[in-house]
Amino acid sequence: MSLIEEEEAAQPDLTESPEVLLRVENLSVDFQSERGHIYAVRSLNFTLRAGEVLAVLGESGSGKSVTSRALMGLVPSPPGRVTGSIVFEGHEIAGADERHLENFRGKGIAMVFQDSLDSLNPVYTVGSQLTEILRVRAKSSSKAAQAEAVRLMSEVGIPNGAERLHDYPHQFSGGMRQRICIAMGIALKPRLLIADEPTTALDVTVQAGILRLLAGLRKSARMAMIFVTHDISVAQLIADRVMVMYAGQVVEEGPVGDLVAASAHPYTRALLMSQPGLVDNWRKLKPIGGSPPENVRKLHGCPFAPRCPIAQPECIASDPPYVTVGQQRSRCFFAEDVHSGPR
Amino acid sequence: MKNLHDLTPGLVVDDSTASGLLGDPTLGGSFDTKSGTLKWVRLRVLLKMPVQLTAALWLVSLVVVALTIAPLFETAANVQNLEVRFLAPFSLDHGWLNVLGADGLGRSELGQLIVGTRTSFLIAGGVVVVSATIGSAIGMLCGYAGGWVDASLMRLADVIVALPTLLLALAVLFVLGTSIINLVIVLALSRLPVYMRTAEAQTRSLRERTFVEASRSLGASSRRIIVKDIAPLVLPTVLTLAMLELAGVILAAAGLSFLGLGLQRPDVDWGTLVADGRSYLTVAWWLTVFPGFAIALTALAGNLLANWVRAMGDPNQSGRLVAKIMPKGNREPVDK
Amino acid sequence: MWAFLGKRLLYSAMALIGLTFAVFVLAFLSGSPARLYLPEGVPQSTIDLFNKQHGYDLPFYQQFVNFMLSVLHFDFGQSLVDGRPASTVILDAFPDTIVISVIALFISTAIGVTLGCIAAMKPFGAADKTITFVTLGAGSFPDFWLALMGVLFFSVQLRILPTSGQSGLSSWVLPVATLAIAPIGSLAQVARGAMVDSLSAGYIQSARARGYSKWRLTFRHALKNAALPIIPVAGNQAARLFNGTVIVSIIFAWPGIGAVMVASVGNRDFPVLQAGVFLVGVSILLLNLVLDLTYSFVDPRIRVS
Repeated sequence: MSLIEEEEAAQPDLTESPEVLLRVENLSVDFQSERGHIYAVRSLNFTLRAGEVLAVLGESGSGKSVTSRALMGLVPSPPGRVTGSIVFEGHEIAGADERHLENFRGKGIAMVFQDSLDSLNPVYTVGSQLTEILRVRAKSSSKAAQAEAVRLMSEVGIPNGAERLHDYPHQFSGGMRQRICIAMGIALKPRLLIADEPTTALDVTVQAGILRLLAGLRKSARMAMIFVTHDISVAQLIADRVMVMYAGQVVEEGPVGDLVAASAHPYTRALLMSQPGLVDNWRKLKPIGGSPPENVRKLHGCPFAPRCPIAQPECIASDPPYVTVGQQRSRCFFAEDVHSGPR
Repeated sequence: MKNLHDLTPGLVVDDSTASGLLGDPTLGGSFDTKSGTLKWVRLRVLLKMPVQLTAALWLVSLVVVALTIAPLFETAANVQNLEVRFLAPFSLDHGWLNVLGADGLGRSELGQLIVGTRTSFLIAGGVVVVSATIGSAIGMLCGYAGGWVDASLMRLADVIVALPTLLLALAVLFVLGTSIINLVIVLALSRLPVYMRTAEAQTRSLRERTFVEASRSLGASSRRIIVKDIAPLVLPTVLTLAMLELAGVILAAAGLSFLGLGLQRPDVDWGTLVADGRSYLTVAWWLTVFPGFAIALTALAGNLLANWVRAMGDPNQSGRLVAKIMPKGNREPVDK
Repeated sequence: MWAFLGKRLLYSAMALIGLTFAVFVLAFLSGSPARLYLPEGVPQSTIDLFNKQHGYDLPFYQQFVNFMLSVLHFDFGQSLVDGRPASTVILDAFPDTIVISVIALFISTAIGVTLGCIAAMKPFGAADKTITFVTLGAGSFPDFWLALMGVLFFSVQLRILPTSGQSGLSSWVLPVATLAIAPIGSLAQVARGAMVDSLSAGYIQSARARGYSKWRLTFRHALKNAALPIIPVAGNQAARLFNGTVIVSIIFAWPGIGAVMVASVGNRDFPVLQAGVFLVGVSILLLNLVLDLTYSFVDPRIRVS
């Protein structure tokens, strides 16, 4: 049973509202640097509903982190350029100016980053950083902010919260720090929480705790989540839907169960076959040959073709279509075959 | 998430995989090199920044003047012509040589400035070469040896830094007397710590790198390792540092000359010109303003360039800078 | 943290001994130290007697030991001008120098750091380019020239400030300005660099993701982190400030160690020169030590570990 299912069983089932929270259309992000042009994200499309958890799955360089930054308007604009449309609760975010972005950051969409030590200011206590959010963004009084900070510490599972507010970030363990970052993320009760590989830097045992916390928060706070990760087993535990990215493009998306049971894209299959947790016999474990591409000028054809075991000449020559197969959509000429292939 | 390189890590494409699979060598190419290799990119950026470009051209032209035409003005600078005593500048009545005015003995200010250029640059160049060579040599030795040797010799840097340049100069020149050689020695001594510390720090971190280990395991002597493995990597840093230092040395030398500790007549540099002009500040302002301006412009040019070099070398800033400067035509239309 | 402190103290002690040695060797640089104390043209017999009286005929290391001992007593001999103890001559002049240096440092830090922060808020933007150009300019103009220009403009042309002397509030303006301008340049540059680094750190991104304004990010979140590298730089300005006070002494006839030192050169007063070099060197070493200690106290990562 996944964490989501566990939590659902433990808590009352609140009515799912099917309203669309986030609609992304044709999102592209490219960068100009000394070494050339980098196309990090190419024509991304997806929607997210309230309370839904979407996992963005991909290796390093797939564009998943850049996507999450773009959603917050955090892509540095001189070297980077964001085109396309990002509509959150009816407001266009892409290309919005800084003051508009400041309004909804933290309150509408909040973000938790991978490196919890780097995410916290080393020269201020955890308490002062936490209360600052409430005082500045929620206009709380000092007393109210202090009380809420203590409550948040216990909500994310940190013992002795009241005392520990006086400590500095480096005095906490990695798992505790990430919980604090999550506390800061949910402090303003955002409708969407973006978590960028929050557990990657943590031990497996600590990971489970963080994931459980996030799953619980999703229900209790009625918060949608975008969970960026490279680990498909984590996606399985926490997500409703998965969006698999490769070289800046979505190669497959769909409900997590269907995607794992019968994936419709060779890359997803390869990912599944290469992850120890998901393969029942180690003899079947196969690493994917080659490495992901630098984001090159070449924009035609399937980016995965050089490493794909079933690639054909047309995969290099032309762009694969984005087709619907079963519950998923996949960007492959042979999606049907892959989908109905052996598990 | 610290900088651009964290956002989009460049990974090496496995050429053999790609071309092996499908027989097409154009697959899995390298970076978009429309902008060319790194060095040329930097040069192009420089060409598009008018302020920095002017600074670079100013310095280059001064060096050219110093090396080529300055000797031609020796006589002009020293010829005394009482007819044009304290001639005000900006008039061509007495020839273009006196366009910047003349001093109390009728010597052409322009001529003295040009001759002073040569002296200033020769001294500064000498100081930089001496201090950079000796300083980085000591630094590399310290960094490589480590332990007590390192700790003790670096205290030398601490001592020198604790002594303000003027103080050091006063003391040494008092005892040894003023001459060009002594001036160069004192200045070089005062700049030593910068190179020592930089070379030492860099050597210390390079010492543990694999390629040094490899050399050591092959039986290379310490001296060989330092010369062949470490020095080539320390050299660019030291060179950059030397360039940055030039402006500072010119300023320091001018200061000493102003105090009368540097050059004595008939040797002339910009500092002595300012000192000479000081006595006539109220009657002949050009005698102080022009030499001072020369010092200031040169130091400013040096500082501007140094600043630019620093920004280009810092990954936090270079991306933003290049993107602002480079032509938009570098971008390709995004594919659907 | 104590290991760090202990090491730092040891290094300072070593530097102190090095300084003593350097000052000691000063007298021997040109050969015979006697020549520095005695007037020109004295017969060799007088020189030999002098050497015997002052122990210059003893072995080198013993002379050094004697020197170190007398230094510990602050004994540098007597001024050749008026016979007062050389150390007294220098120490009397200390307060004047310290007062004006501290004022100048304070002003230049406040202005420089603020300018650096503003410049860092939008790197390579209009404010940054202007501030960078102006501060680089400030660091490029020779201080003696700026002082002269100040005199020319404010004292001679406008007649609103005196040309020299310590004679009331307005007489402080030009000297302090002369001292403060170059450090403003350096501090603004360093502050800008430290702030750009600080602003690119992960915790600024996280804070930005909470919807804080650029001003809050710069002056509350980033500044305290950037302050750390700025502290040692502010300390480095001490040596440069001393250079400045020498210039200020000469141009504005301002009292202080600079004036004393320059006078000692003019009067061939070696004991005072030697005492001056040592005491100024020691002060700066001590200042750097104090700054190092302050640094380690301010950084919670070092303090609470």
